Amino acid sequence: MKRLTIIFLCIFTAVAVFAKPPKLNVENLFDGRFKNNKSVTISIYKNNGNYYRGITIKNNPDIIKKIASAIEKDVPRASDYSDYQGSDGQYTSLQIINNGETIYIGLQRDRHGGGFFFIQGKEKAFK
Amino acid sequence: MKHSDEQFTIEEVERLCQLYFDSQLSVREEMELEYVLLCSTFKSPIINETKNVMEVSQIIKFAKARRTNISNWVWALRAAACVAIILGTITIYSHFNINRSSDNNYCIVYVSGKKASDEDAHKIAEADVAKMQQFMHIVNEKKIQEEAKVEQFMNHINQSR
Repeated sequence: MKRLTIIFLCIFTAVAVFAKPPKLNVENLFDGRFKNNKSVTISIYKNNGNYYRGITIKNNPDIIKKIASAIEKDVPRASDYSDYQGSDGQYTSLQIINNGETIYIGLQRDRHGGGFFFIQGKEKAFK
Repeated sequence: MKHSDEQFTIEEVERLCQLYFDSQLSVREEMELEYVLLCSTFKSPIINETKNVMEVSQIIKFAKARRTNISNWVWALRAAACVAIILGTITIYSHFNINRSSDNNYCIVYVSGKKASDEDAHKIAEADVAKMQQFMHIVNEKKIQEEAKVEQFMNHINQSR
């Protein structure tokens, strides 16, 4: 009985570890820390299995810096990464594959300390 | 008595057999002697007689081996049953969870620290999704432009060689 319990626990632990959600660094930005910030608009939207979270920032370089830092930490997990400097600002884009689905992450920085950040993907990708 | 993996001499085995006939061995020592006789190839009158009295034969050996195999099979089946139960539970749970969550659409928006009404939230979220699509379009265009530049550069290098 003891041996059976040990086998059961080992298998359960292995499956639990395997099934662990991706928990990206950028996901932590939606833990409520910017909820009451006057320079921020936060959108969390789920529709037909599609999941979207976005932050629009107006004139707040500190928040932009925090978002950029969180994105940097997720870069090693990305299957595709690009960073472009355009006339209207800087575009940073990441694609992370999890559970067979792609998570799209993007940050557009304007020249006035503002920007637009999002995470988007099928709900399955976040499990 | 010696451990089973240690070597006995024929004299030692004969002495043990004699002790067996003299009823000087404990039950455990008798079992160990039985094991030694099973494993050894020594032949002498007293050893053969002890084997006969103890009914030591290949059948015992076979029965032991078979019991071990059956025991392994039982444990393998138990482990397989555990895997089946866990995978079954996870499949049922995830299926239930996906069905439940897909029916559970929502839209939450905070503007300058205040929660927006449902109607405004939907409008803002839809505008944000459109902005995101525009972002992805711009990034794709820029990527294509950059790739074209790299290709042009490589062609130029190859031509100048």
